[in-house]
Amino acid sequence: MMTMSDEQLQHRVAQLNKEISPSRDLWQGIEKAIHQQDEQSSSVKKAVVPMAWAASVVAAVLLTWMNLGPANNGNQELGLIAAINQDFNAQKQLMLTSFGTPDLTQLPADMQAELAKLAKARTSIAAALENDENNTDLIELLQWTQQQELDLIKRLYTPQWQTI
Amino acid sequence: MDSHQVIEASARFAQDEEQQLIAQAKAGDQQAFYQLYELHHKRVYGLCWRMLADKSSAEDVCQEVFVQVWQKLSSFQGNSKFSTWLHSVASNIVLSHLRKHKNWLQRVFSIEDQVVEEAGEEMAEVSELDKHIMRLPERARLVFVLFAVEGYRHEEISKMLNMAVGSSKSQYHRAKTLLKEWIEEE
Repeated sequence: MMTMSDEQLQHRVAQLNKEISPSRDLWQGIEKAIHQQDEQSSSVKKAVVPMAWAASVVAAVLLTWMNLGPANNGNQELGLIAAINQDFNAQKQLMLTSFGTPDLTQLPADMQAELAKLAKARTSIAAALENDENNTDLIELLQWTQQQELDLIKRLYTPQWQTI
Repeated sequence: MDSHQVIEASARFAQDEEQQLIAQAKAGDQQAFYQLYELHHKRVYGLCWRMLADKSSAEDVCQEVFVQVWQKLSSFQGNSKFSTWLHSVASNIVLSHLRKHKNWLQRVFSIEDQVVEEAGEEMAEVSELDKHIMRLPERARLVFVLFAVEGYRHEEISKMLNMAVGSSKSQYHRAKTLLKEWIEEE
């Protein structure tokens, strides 16, 4: 039996048709997906404006609070704040895992900036709570900010187009 | 103007036209993007199909490639040919798909090293060589397709597949040996 040489195999590879037609129309799904993405992106951008505004308000309220607010009364509620933060981190991790652990640094710069603003606001509120641990308004503000962050992540990664 | 000049001029015209389509698509023109899809989707699908050895997955991944390309188009600076950039994006999405969809059986028993007997049978119109490529064990198939069909170097493949350059070369050798054996049996 004649043994096939490398050249003969290469010759057959070179003859392969590089273009193959898929058996179904793929464009319809692609068009639908990019249309949904564009809509999603614009709705996120619309949502980002009030969120940025809210984050700025939070920062301003906190600044005032930290300057004019009551003095530190102790650390009795640190356990509660830690629990709230822990719960939030677990929810965020679970959500990211459900979206395939996406790399947040790959997000568009404006989205990254919004997430950073919310995270900064969240950290500032937690810091303010250390000085005023019984303040239910601040606790609610912390939870509200955390929710905004989760909502934004959800909106960014909900795989609406993966069903194409 | 001789035939060589005609070919060169038409290639340049096609390239200019493609550049224009890319610029329009970057600006959000979906019709221009559709024309780019029309120009390239069969080649991208061919790459996906040969790497995945599965028609249905190849179709899904080919769609994902173009959806991601739409998103990433602004990052294409034109330093390389569009087709080179597109195929690089496609190869990486295929590999990412394979990593995500490797099931626990494959992880535990390394069954990607086994020859696939039934692959390629689903498409009657494909060449005999393609049917044999489909039967190759996963790693040997990926290396063979990337090296012999797509023209990547072993150094590039080793980075893409996270393996040593020597492993890429030995997988290629393995693929060639199996393919020759199967072709001789035809």
